[in-house]
Amino acid sequence: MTPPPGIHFAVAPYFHIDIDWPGRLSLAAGVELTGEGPVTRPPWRPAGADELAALVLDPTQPGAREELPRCVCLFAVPAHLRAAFWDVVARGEEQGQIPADDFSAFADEVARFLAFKQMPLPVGAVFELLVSRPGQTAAPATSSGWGLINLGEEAVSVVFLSPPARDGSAPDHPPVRLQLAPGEGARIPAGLLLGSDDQEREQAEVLLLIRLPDTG
Amino acid sequence: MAPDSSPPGPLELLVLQPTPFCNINCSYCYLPDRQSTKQMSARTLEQTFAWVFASGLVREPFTLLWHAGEPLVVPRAFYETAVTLLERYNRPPVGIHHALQTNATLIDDEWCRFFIEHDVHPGVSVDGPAFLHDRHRRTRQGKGTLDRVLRGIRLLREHGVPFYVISVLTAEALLYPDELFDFYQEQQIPTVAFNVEEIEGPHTTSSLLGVEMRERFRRFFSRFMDLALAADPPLAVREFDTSARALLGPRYGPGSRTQENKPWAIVNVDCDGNFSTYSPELLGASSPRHGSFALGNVECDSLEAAIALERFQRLEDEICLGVERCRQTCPYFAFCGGGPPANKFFETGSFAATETLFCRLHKQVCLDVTLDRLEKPITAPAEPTRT
Repeated sequence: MTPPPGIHFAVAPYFHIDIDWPGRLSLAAGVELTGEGPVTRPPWRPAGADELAALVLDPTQPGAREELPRCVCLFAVPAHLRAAFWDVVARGEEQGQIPADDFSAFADEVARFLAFKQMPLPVGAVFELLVSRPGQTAAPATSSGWGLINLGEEAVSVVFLSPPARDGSAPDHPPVRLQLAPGEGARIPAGLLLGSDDQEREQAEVLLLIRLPDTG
Repeated sequence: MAPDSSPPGPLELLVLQPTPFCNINCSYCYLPDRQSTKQMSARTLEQTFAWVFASGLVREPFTLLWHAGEPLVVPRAFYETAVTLLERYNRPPVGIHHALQTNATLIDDEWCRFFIEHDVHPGVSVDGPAFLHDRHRRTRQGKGTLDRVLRGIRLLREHGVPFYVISVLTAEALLYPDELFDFYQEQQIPTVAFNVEEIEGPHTTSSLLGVEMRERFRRFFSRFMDLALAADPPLAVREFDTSARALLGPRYGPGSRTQENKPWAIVNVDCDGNFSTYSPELLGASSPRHGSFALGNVECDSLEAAIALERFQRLEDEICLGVERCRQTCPYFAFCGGGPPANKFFETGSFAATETLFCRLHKQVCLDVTLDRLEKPITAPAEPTRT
């Protein structure tokens, strides 16, 4: 199968997530190229049925498996890993900062879990914890992400943008916003940009960004 | 085979079938008559206990397990009668570990009080989160049963009834060790036992067939044990504990047998009073060579008469041959003692067979992983992931 151009989504193999894609995906009006890179142009709207069919990979279609590396793959970390993270945070609160060894051990556990699920991290992958208060935006525009995980207690929205075309013009398909439930993560295909979102939240946004090696 | 002059038994496990009926219809069930609503009568129940305690098999503590159908579809009064009869016939008394295997969908407050009052230990059959459990454990209308199972588990917890769970592992379940671990933790399940989806009775195939399944099972069990051992408190896993005991305990040698392949260590009695020995799954089954695996009826056939049957001797000879072949050919024999006769028969049609699907996964892989974990403290730590 050859999906239409644009950004595509799928549930990662070896994960079971009952997902309501229409409730999770929305589209921006377009993209504006600024000196700081492409930014989304509101307003956001739900994706229509035809758009959803183009956005979401049908895993039952022949050849769907081969398309997965080009898809944003949704996955979920188990509750015991999230609990381990918050244990690390609790120890950090006692000590004034998150102990590096504890965070490293937690990151190792995440890596082991993803490896079991056939999503091994590249050697040297960097784990970065992004925390923002309500009203702040945590997820920065970046193109170096392997993926990210919502470790917070509230759903967060993540925006995906295609890079500008070779001639520097804006891509001809709109940015897509994906809502990540607590504990969910997304594997980002190479080249896709991760944008920021400023949806109102009541609790802190806690994202674990997993970067590719040697990138900022 | 040379005649064995030692007395048969002793009895280690008595499996009683109060009814073959089950109120649900699991896709991998081995019971051929699970639609039959027959129930063991009070008369058969008494004849069963009379037979067992007069047989000479009861020489040490044993486990009495109500199984082979859903035991809780039978009224509690039946089990109250059983308790009374046990007290009458168990003279001089030996210790009896009283257990029951249930799908938990019918557990209520009264059952919980019964379990507590009579020290009955339920094992609950549950396969994990809904996407695993409800795929196979369904009602006859095709509906999932997990909600009802969890209600039963909650009642057991609230009443303080000690229980464990048995989960059947299919090929799909092997992809989800973390999700299973989360499930057991969330449901506050302290002890879990894994059964592999076996080829038994009318269930003539398994999703676990295939050469790749050994490695997939190893990855699953290894990952699961990492999580179980790291939990606080650790989650007890039957396969790990039995493997550890096998590795650390005495070895099986020539002539030694396991509970399931040793005659009369297990006695199985169906709701009509027909009895068999060896693997419980054999009761109700038959073969062209051996005929029915039932060796008599508690109403009219003594243990001596059953032992004297030519078809029992044929059965015993063939099982014995299979164990001996296991000993000669399998490097795991010293820790295993020979595969269960039921698996050999249902997979190959012969008790003289050796390695089965059950052996490869449930025995060999579990032993390998357990040995690896037991050796871990004296090996160098793994290279940490760079972050």
